[in-house]
Amino acid sequence: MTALINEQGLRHDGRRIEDLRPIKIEVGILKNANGSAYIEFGKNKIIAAVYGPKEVHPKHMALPDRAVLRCRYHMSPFSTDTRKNPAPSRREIEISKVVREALEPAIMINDYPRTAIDVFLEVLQSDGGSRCAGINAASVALADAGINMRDLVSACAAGKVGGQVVLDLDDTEDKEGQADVPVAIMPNFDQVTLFQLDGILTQEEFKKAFGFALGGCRKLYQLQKEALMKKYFGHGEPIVEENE
Amino acid sequence: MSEKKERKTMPGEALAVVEEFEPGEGTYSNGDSVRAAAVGIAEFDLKQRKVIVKSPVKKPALPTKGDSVEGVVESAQSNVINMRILRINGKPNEANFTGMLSTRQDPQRRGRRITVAKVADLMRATVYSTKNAIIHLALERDNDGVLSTVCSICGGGVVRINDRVKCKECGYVDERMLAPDFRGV
Amino acid sequence: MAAVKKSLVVEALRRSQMTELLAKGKRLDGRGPLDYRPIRIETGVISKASGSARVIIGNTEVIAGVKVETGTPFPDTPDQGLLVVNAEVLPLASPYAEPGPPDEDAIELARVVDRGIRESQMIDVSKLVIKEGEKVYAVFVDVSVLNVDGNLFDTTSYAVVSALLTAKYKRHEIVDGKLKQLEDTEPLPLKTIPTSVTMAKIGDTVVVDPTDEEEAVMDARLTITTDSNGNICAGQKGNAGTFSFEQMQSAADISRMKGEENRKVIREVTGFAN
Repeated sequence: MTALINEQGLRHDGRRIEDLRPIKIEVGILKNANGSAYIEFGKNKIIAAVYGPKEVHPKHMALPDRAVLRCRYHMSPFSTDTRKNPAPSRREIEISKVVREALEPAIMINDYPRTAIDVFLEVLQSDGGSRCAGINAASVALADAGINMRDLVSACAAGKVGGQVVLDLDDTEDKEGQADVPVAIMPNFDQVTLFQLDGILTQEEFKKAFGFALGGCRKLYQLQKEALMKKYFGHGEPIVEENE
Repeated sequence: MSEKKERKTMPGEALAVVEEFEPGEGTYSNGDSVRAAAVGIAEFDLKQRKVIVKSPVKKPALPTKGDSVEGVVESAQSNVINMRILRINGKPNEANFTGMLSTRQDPQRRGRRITVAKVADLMRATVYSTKNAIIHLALERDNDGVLSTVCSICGGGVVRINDRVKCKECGYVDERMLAPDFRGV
Repeated sequence: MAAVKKSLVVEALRRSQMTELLAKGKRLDGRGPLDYRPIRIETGVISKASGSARVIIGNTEVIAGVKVETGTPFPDTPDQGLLVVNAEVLPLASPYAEPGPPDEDAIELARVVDRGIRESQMIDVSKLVIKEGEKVYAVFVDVSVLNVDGNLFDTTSYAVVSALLTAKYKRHEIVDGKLKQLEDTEPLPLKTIPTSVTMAKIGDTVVVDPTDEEEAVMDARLTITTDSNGNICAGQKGNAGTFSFEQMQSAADISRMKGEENRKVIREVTGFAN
């Protein structure tokens, strides 16, 4: 197999250290859902759907002062190299939890007391970084559902591959690499809403990887805004900030 | 100089500082700044010093005060009726909200309380409060009331006879608060 | 595992009380933000297990047992032994714990602890092979939480680590195509002591080793695991709050400092030198 990083500093798929994989985000792709989005992030193909705010069942789960946010991250059996058992795995249950916790700070859940907001992430094809890709899609799907939001949530991973800190690991790099650090942020507030880390990093490498991930998140934020612009204003140019 | 200024915006983007503009619909204030809470066009009212975000995104349909709602009676006790809301202001709604109609205050007829509705009836009511996030219903409007029902004894179709319903199968006569556009099955 | 939840008024009261105190650098139980509660570790508490440890941090108490068995390696790692970490919050551990399959909190707990052990490469799994591609050792670490008072992540992690550090397993050989258990025992091939440090953000303050009360009102939780060299090997943010970028960086420093302190405690008890 080819080296993870060659002499020219290129990765096995030809990317440079700080390159993202090709990314495509589309908003509003499902009819029934109140909000939806589709993301391609490298080989990841993920659908995000939002239902609600709606009545909570069972009723005693309802909270008097805010909405209950529920999240289901699920991988289709055909999404992986070998068939994945369709029953939710422990990994999926954990990811569902951290994704929910990554999204919740950005949602004005107090505007919707005694209701439930359901976020579904269906991974149709998986590649490295599916939780980050899913968060990016879920965040725009929530905006597409017309739910009041404090901010979008943008996510991207960094990691260590072939001894070097790199941005956005794909499946091969995730498996062969030394560390993976998925991060999600609220870009307008510089706040971290998701952070996980596995693999070994020195303190310096950690600082670098964290910085890379933040840079990746910022790029994703632009793509998310463009996707929403395209859906609602019919074009994809980024918003030009007005200086007054 | 125009009195309004506009710009496209996304959730979270700072629109103004609180000292300069008051947050209006579709915005929120977060300490120092007024920010967008939705995708939309921020409109700055330079006279009123207020900023709103007009959103092209369909808002979640939550029952609000004054809405006319239609739904199915899920439970009917002596003082309270719970109705699962299926339509809000004529539009289908799949969020499955339950509204509560207190029947304690309802009009008396012939010197006694009448049955307003029974389980499985289709009825229309008006949202008069969403305090504490409970959807309180009332039969406020002239066209509120039971829209359709079947015989509570045999399940047969019914016809309207003045302000009562009569079963076409078994002849049982039942009472309801009927809407003017009531239809027998 | 869920603490004193669902009572908004009580939560709000506690929170205001706590943030007032924290502004003065104090906590409800008198600790400073970066103080752990006393840590007590006892090893060898279950003689039928290959290794075991009971760890008590404040009022949180867990027990971990290691069982080393033989098994078939995963097809993609024929030259590696297996490691399985599992955690359960027993119904007797808290008035809020309920029997039944592990909920997402218990699953997260087990997976975060597992990640710390696995990613630090504490166990040299390449040495746990009996016959490549056919038979390997499988190291099962099961944790039972006996009493819940916050910071289950570190308590569980230290119990797992201490149990592994003191575990001895019976060796196996393949003789005439059959698996045969030998009489001599051996310690597990271990390389480092991964030590997790769990922090809670309450208001604008970050504290280590949160109690149940603190966890009930915290905005967000962060666990960072470091190895004996001070490298970071696992991390997990929890709860629906956020951390600023600066808080993340300082948390990484705190985790190394407090991790080293707690590693000393583990070293003393287990006699492991690395």
